[in-house]
Amino acid sequence: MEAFQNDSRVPQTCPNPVFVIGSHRSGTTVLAVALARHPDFWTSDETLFMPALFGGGRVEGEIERWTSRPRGSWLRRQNVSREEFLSYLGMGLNALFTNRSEGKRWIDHTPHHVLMAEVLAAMFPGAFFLHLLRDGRRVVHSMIHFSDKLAEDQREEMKAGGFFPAWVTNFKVACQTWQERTAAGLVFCEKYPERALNVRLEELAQNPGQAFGDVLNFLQARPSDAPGKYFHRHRFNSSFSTSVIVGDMAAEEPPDPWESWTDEQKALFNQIAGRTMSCLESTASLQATA
Amino acid sequence: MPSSQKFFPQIELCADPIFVIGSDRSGTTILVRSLSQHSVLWSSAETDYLFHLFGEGRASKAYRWAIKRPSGNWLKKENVSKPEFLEALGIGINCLFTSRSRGKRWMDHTPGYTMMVDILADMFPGAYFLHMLRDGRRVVHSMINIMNTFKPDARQRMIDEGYVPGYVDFGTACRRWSLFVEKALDFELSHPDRVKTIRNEEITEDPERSFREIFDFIKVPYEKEPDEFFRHNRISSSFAKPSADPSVREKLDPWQDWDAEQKRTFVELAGPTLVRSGFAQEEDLVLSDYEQLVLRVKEVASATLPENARFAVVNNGDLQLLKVGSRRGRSLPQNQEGEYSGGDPADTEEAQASVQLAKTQGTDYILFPSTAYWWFEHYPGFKQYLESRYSRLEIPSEDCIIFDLGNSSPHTRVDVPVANG
Repeated sequence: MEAFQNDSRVPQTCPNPVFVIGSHRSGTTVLAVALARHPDFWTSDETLFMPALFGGGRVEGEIERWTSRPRGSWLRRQNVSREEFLSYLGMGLNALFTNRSEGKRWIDHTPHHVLMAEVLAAMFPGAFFLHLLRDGRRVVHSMIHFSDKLAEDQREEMKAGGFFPAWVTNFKVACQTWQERTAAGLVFCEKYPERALNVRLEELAQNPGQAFGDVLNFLQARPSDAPGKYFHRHRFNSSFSTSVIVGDMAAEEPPDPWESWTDEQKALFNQIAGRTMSCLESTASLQATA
Repeated sequence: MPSSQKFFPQIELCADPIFVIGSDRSGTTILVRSLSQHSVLWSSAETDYLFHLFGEGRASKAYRWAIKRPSGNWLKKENVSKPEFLEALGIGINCLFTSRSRGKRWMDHTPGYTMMVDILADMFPGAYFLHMLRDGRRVVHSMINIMNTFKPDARQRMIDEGYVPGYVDFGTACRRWSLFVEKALDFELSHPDRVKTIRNEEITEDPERSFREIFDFIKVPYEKEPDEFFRHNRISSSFAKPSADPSVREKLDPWQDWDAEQKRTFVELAGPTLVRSGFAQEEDLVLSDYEQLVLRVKEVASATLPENARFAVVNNGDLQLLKVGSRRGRSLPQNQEGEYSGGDPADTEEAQASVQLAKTQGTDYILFPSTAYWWFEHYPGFKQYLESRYSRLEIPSEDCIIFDLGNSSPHTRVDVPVANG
């Protein structure tokens, strides 16, 4: 007889999904949506449950605890490594994503994931990561104007649900958020050069065709000009509009948010995010502060 | 080049795994080890990690939080229900187990999973649950003696590293047993086709019959090896090796050996569960008149005597009357070593001498529970002797009389809250 009913529902999983990571307000959504114009890719909304379940060092801490407890554990007895355990943990979620993508290569674009990219890399051992980089001054400026586009009821609903980020109302937190996430993404890309690519939003905006060609090449996807064309024509989720704007994305952005900041804001930004900005080689106007 | 094929070249999923649940110390390990003797079943050590990752409401909370986001919500947009979400979490875990069971049907036996059994039911939609149920009095007795299962060096390491289970505390043990059993019984009521309760006492008495019922329930053919294994093995018992210390020997009926305070604690915290699970009737759990008196006397002593006071009690050798918080009690009459002398005074002179001896040995107070009032009748002049020399504490209780041996002024008034008898 069969030992167990070998389940016909053994799930189909995507071997090489894509995670778009980065700071909030960096353009992660528009990048993912543009990529999904490629016939082989698929994306949807942001997922939030993985940080809640596995982020904040929780799963790593648990693995450490299980492997070090004096009475032994199932994982140790069965010789299950951290990498193997996490890859199994990711498999079911991969199956859920793949079920919805209907066999296409799925893209997740939850910004929070930048802080748990190491865990995700182990949970999804075939995944690629695109770390979206954007000038920190523009990101911070976008963050503190995030609620401008929201209707009052939307704002209240977000607050009531605990979804209203602190960086909307606190300049310092906005600077810290960009710095923390950008630094985390840069470190991750350096550690996993074959799997993670830094992508500059400004370069995508300047020459979408070329930049998306490079991204697709990195992702080992077949060439397509659909993502670049789409990106060129759309801007998503902007803090400065109430809806999707068709047009030249770069032209729609405020010319230089730095000029509108107070000296105190400039000093605070420099103190918190200046070093990370230097890493991005975008330091020119930082010197303008008193 | 990243690879997704490193760990699962050939993925298999067991559609109908088995979770053995139940309170700690109920026999979950011996049951699963016995079942593992069956040719198509497999198990290993306890896992625990599902509880820490998804238990205590974590999985539900993550789902609830993610799906209530007003906009940009993947779960809502993709119409993912909570059961589907949980099943997705379970698929990878199932495949991990299946990768180790090598084609056999896997079983888990982590007692803590009892408290997340409803989540497991969704994570593993084809799973069966075997609930091992054991008389809570024996379970509690086993829990508070758990450290006996370890060798001295291992025991010390557990103490040093903070791995001593909380249930070595009597009250915690009672609460835990009740909580686990209530959860499992409720789950069985709502999922009768997926849960079967097995009574430790019944499987011990007739293993073959119980295993036949289990195999029938989990839909595998009968094999004799599991019940043979069960008959001849005893695993993880708190009393595996007979101890020289009678206080840590396994009690066939620990209830008879518990003191009144332990019984009251058990009845308060686990009594309803014991009745619900059919191990006792309500009247079985009523404390005797004497036990109720002991509890009232201890309450009076606790409220009346100062912390760290030394007192002697006419207790007929009953040790439970000596434990009143931080106060140090001794039996009366006592011998030169301060131990219970083993009998009553022969006459008034001996009774008086016993009080004098207690006083010279540092006793501050003498307590007479109502069961010892006969001393005042039986030994002529004894009561007058006490009242003429020592102050009697005035307490609003007829359950005991207390004399202060260190205070010659009579009748110090002390108001004492006393429980109704």
